[in-house]
Amino acid sequence: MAERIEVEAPVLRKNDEYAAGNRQWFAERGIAVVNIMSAPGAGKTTLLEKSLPLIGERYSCAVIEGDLQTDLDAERIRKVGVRAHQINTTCCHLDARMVMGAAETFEASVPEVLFIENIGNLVCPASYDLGEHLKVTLFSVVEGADKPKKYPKMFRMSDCVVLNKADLLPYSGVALDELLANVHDVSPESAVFTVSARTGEGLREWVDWLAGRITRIRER
Amino acid sequence: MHETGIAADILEIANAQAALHGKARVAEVTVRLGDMSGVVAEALEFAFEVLRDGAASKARLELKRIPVLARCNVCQVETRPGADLILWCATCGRPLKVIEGEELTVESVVLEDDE
Repeated sequence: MAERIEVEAPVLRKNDEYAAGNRQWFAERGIAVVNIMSAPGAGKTTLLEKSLPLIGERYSCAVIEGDLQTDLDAERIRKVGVRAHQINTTCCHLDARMVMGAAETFEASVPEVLFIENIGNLVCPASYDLGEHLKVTLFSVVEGADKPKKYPKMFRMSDCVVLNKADLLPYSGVALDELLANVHDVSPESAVFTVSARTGEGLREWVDWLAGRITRIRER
Repeated sequence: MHETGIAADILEIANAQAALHGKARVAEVTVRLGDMSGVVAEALEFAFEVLRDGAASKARLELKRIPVLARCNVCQVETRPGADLILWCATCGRPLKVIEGEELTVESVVLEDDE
């Protein structure tokens, strides 16, 4: 005999449980956690290389790097004097359990701020709660003005959207006004910054916003 | 794409229900899938079919698509944003809250005994 059973189970419940555990672990140690997400090549590592020395004036930092292969990114972070742990995974995103495994490597001397550089992917990482305090979507302007409407979830759930590679705008055929309007449409409440991580343009405003948010998180 | 991992999670939930209720087979799994869940229905269906195992090795996946529904907490007006996905209140100009369309939930399973 066939029988229908009501289940009402969130599919990602297991990840959500791990994320809740992460949140508690971070809170007990006073760590503010920032998850940076973007498509591949948007400039996550470069943004970190340029932002870490500025944030580092106020807080001790460490970075979890996620990539399919190589520890090239962790090496780049270490070169600016910041501790880094590389995760290599064949997954298209980081999940809460992988992040805890990496965070525990800093247990002996925990940082005040932990950055997570997610796998380069504008879709999948948005579905996975890592127990972080802030979600940041990084987007390079050359990816096109229409993308926030095509991939709304990641923009929508981010506390902050950083538009990178502003120095390439004159060569890109992308209208910044149109891109800003599309970000604003799908994600009314995100803070938005336009920067060039390479030239340093706009970095100070983004770092000041981030430092302010980190201060508030750590005061809780 | 993460649809493979999501299909595996759905199958784990379905197989656990069969074990919990002492049933031999899962005939059907109904999943509510929001249009803004970030999950591609076709990719999920494909992954589910490939990964089906255990009591759910012949299960059918029923996807209930949920369109985006947003509410203005000031005007209490509910709207279904069109393809342009403007998530601002047309009346008062304040940001809208998405109240439906982000679902990724196993709603129910149909379980069967052996013949």
